[in-house]
Amino acid sequence: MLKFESCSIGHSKMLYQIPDLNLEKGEFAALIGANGSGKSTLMDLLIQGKFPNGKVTIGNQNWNDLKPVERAKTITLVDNHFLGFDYLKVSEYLELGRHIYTNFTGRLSENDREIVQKYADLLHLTSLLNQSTSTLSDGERQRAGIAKALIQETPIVLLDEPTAFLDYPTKKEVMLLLAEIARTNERLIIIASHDIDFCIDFCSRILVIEKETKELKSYGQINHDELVERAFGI
Amino acid sequence: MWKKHLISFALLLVVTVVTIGYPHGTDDWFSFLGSNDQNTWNLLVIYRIPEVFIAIISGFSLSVSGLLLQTTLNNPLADPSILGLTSGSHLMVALTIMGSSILGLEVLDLGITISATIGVLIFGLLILVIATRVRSMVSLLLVGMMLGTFVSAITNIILMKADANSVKGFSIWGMGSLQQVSIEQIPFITLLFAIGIVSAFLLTKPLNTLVLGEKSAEILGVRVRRARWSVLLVVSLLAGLVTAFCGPIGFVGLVVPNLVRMFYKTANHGHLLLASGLTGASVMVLCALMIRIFEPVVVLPINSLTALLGAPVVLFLLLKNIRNA
Repeated sequence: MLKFESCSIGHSKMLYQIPDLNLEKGEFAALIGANGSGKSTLMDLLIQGKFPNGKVTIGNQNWNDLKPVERAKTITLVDNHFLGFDYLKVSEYLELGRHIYTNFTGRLSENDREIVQKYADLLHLTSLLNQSTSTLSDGERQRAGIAKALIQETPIVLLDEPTAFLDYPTKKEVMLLLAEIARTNERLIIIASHDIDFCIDFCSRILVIEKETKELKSYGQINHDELVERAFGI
Repeated sequence: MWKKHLISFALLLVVTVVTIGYPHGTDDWFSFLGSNDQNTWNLLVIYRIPEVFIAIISGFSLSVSGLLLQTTLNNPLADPSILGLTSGSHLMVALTIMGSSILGLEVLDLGITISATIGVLIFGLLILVIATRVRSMVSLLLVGMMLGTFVSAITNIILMKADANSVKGFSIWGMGSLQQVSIEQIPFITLLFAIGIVSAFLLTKPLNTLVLGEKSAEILGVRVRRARWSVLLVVSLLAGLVTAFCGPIGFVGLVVPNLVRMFYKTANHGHLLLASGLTGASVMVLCALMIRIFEPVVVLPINSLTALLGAPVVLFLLLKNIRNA
């Protein structure tokens, strides 16, 4: 589905190489690497469609050739920088996920509303819909971000540190939920994370930015010590 | 939500009717009703109606402009004057007055209005060009403020060379006035206003996503750069229109959208644009009424009046932001 061939990752300077990688629908992949290794950079390049070299394809289409609207129908990103606004209700926030599917007025169709409701139910947000996004707890806000991304109905969902700032039970809840969604909704979910034990437990694939070789390597299974050694060199 | 819009509209209607009917001198309220006196009707048609009309147009336009800028720049304290657009009009008017003084020509209202419009347009375009190079919205705001300061300094230097009459004329224009519009100018103003407002409403969809910031808007498929250009063009048109016909009026564009967000509690710009426009129009008509009420004692310049009403609100917003931070 999402294929990388001989790609260099980095904005102004190359951080690492992806020699060859093919990710499929239904996979829940974790991207592990040291701080500054380029996890977020890979996500940025996917969102912007600006790979400087190599070849990235989705199906038969070149990733860099996708128009902004096509890209928004293919990939989305949940980052953890959104803190909410007093005047932005949870329902309004979730409805923004349907942005690309609405006409110039932005008015939601009946189908759009059903999709919003479906994912609000799935992420246990129904009772919070009329609440301001600024009043949500960290866990609720993370769930709302994931719901908005799923409402966008893209086959690929990226999450940048989805478990940061969350307590242990909420981390576990979010990881379980993402694994379930990847499997049942046939989505490719990629998370960038530092919670390596959770990733080993819940992800179907571990992508490691190796400190020594400066290459992204893919593992179906990997133990804690080996992962730490490859990612952090310790 | 529509109930709130209805209340805003009713409020605008009430202040408009009250302002139109406010007694002139020793006349009664609504003295033109049932009157056969031509002077009374002239007073209504020549002065009162154009004044209320431009108050509605300017309040609506400035509030919508402020909302557009605040959302696009992700900054609740942005408005056309902070971005230096109004200073651009100041400079052009100063140049016109100075040029007329040197050439020995009389400065007509029309000359001032045209130069003010051109000033806002030029500086709006300048901000647009800078915006394509400056990715950070905060930096853009600082660029606008510096631009405004720089242009104000040039304006002051120019005025030092002008004669006393020119300086007086410029100072009066600089205080702002709702009494410069004639009934003949109404169709032209209405046309420009309609183009600006319809364009603003057409931007509702990208504006709703820009609330989340540029990156999130991009993720949702918005062509962010195109949206920013469109917003700045609409703001230039609306702010230029107001500055041309009323002089520079501050605070309305900054304060009204913040109050509206507070009371409407929504991020839907379809509602926010309408609510800001109606509320801004009510505020400006109310200012026009206050000018009438205080007229026997003191002639209040509109710019000072909006500053007196707006500054405490801005202070409140600043303190609230500091507390939240």
